[in-house]
Amino acid sequence: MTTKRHLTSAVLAGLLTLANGCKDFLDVNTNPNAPESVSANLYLSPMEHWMVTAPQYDGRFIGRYTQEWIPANGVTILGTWDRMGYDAVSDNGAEQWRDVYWSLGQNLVDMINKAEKESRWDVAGVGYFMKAWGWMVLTDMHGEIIVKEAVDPTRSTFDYDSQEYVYSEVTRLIGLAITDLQKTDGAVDATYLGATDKIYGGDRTKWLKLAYGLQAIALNHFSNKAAYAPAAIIAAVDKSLASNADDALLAYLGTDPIMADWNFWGRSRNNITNYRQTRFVVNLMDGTDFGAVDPRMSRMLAPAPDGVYRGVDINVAGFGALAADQQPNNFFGYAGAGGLNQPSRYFFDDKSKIPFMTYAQLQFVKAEAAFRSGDKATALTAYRNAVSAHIDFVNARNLDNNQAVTQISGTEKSAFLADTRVVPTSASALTLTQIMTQKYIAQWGWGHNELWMDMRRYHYTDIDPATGNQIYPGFAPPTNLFPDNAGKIAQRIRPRYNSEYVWNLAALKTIGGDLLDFHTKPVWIIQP
Amino acid sequence: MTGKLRAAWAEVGRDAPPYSYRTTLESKTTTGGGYGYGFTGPNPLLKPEFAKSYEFGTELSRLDNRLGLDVTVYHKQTQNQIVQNLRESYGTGFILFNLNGASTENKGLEMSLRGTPVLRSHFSWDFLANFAAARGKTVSLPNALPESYVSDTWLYGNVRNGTSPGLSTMSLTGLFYLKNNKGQLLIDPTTGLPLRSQTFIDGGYDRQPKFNVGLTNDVTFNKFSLSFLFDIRKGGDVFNATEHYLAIRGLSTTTVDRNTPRIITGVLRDGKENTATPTPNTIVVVPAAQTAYYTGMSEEPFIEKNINWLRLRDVTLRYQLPTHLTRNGSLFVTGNDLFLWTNYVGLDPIANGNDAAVGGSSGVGIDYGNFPIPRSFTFGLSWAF
Repeated sequence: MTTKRHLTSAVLAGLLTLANGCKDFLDVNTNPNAPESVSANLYLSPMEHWMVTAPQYDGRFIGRYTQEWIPANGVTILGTWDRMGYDAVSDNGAEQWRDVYWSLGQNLVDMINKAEKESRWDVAGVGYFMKAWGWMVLTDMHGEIIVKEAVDPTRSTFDYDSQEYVYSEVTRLIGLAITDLQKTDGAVDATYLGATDKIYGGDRTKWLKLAYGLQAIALNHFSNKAAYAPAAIIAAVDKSLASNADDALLAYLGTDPIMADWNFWGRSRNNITNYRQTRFVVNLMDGTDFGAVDPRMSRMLAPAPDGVYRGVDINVAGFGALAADQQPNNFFGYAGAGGLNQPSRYFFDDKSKIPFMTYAQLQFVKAEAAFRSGDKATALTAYRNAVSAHIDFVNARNLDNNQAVTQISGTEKSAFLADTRVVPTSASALTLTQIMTQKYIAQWGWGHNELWMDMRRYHYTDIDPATGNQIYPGFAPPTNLFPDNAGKIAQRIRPRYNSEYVWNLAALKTIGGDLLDFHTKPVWIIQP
Repeated sequence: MTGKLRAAWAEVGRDAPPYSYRTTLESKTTTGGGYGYGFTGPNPLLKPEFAKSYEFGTELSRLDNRLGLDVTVYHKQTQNQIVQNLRESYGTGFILFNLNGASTENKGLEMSLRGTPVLRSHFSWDFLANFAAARGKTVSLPNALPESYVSDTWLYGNVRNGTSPGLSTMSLTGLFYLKNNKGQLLIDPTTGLPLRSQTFIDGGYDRQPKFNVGLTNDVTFNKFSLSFLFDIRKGGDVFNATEHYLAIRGLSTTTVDRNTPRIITGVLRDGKENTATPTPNTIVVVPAAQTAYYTGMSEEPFIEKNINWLRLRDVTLRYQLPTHLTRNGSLFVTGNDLFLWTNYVGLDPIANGNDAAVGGSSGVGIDYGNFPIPRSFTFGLSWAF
């Protein structure tokens, strides 16, 4: 009897297990091989990667509007972007659109929500910082963007928000970031944040400085508006990065077989191999514009095989009339497409660090704000700090992977800083031209978002009343503008094609996004 | 005479692929590793799709079953169809979705006529004729989205198997030429070249044939038998991507007149294109000097409309060996695809730019570097022991 009962129980138990097993086996809704949710800090690294890297993707195109570089090697016809146009039916110039909505998108929402629930104010603060950054660079680039209705998988059409609204949201989010990053209570934990924070290793105080830096940059974009507040900008810069040691940099490890963690600008990724420096940037540094030869030129730019630094003419396809030994090398320092697995230059190495925001950049922001408010003494100090810091920055980048480029010596540096054509001794001799062109040099090649914003704020060709010449000396739009421009210069980039032109066209039309010359429509922030 | 009537009604459900209901995180290989969402967004409201179909048919035969006719008409409507990997605005926070809400309608007519006109002891002749005509229409797409396409069919230039509500499920969308309200080509007043759409639009193309006919004959005379199958297709468009590839590189014979000045027939897009008096184009272009004539050319002129064919699929001549040699053996020769009559300019309109695994309405009718079916001969001996 007992045996029988045991048997029955065993069979029953077996059946129950089987039933359970079947239920699990038939569950096609929960994927056993992938998590649906992870600890807050595990969302962070990929978002940091894209926050630093996505601007570089778009820099291939923005850098041509700003005449930092254009493709020249092997080029027989000028590209659309070289004529201040765009590529129709293409997602070129919309990487940040992808990464702000998708790589950050829902991941950022989840990270902030989890961090707040667990009182991890440092993680939440970093999250709000990223959100503010994303909306700011996206609106600077595209003008009207989707903010209020963004990141909602249940919607299928999305209305655009005005840039004025987006900036108010950016301001609010920076405020939240600063509030959270100031907190030391709750579960604030540098070890937890540092486990995945590849920029600052979990140092909350540096993120706080970075948030003030973003605040200064955002406020400075209002320079053409009545609301422009130089004092607030200077105050924000003073609370932001204090030296090059605070620079926000991302190191590329170069370990992933499909190169996802290799420097985008490295020769192996092959994204910039055929690009060459323009005459405009060379003229800023070889003495053409200012009389002084910049010691950074031979450490940032590439010489031609004959040893001379030249830029290519943006109005001519390829190298134009330059003889073979006069054609500038690629940014890795080699002719043609050379340089694979060879020592490289500046931040063009496979393992170089790419900056996100630097001390030098913010000192230029301070210099501009102080100059515009009439406090030229403060402006000159900030300006000298900025140039000096960027010289150190160039040296540091040329050591990231022990490249072969010689360092700028202390003598060279002090001689350059003492050259009154570049750094005047008297504050009254400082010009906006000097501030903005030196800022251009400091942001050349990586700070495309801010660099283009600077140029648009000064309408590319505004005259400096102090010199009677252009603030960006000799900068001229391409002579043969892209046909769709109708004679106007580029002011924004069209939203991502395979997102908006295909799937959200009705809303896009309400802001004129379907017009052929939409990319020449000035954005709100640069208007009075 | 005998006859039968058939009718059937069915409702069939189909589920979405596993794990498409909630979204999951994937491990990232960017700097520092970590987790992030994949391309596909969640859809907690996902439901199975249902297809309702009915068909009517009849089978008739007479003359002691020497003549038979089989006719079927069918209609199938799929509701709440799940469209996989549909793109949406990145504003969703994702890139792809699995959504309900498409509806497609398929209907068709199938007929087969068989007969034995001759039946003698030494001579007989059997034939079978199959006729099939099918129509598929997209009734609606999820969330009133403008277009759905299988990205693997976007394999050349800017033409893909896109479909929109009201269009055939076998339509093509592309960056076709812009036209005014009278259907005249719009010309760029600065270049004299036609203007192309910047978005994927319908151009009235349909890869679906009007009908297909298969004709099988078996003739036996003494120990010889001959069987052959004709394949006939009427209508349906084929995109000749190969020719476009050659033309824009100056390798097609259609480009040998490149030094001949010409005026492209159309009207200038000068603001008057949709008025009663549009400005006719008078701008002379010489393609050899203005290479954009070729390099900027739309794929549209290379979509060949109403492609018909008659092909001899296979033919077999067989000699039955005498029974004292073998219980059952024969000598035969078979030829496959011995000839093809078609109005198609390219190699073979049967091309499929991809394979059946891409799903949807597939890459049938997209000919990019496809080879025709090879012509082959087989000689054989069959022998039974």
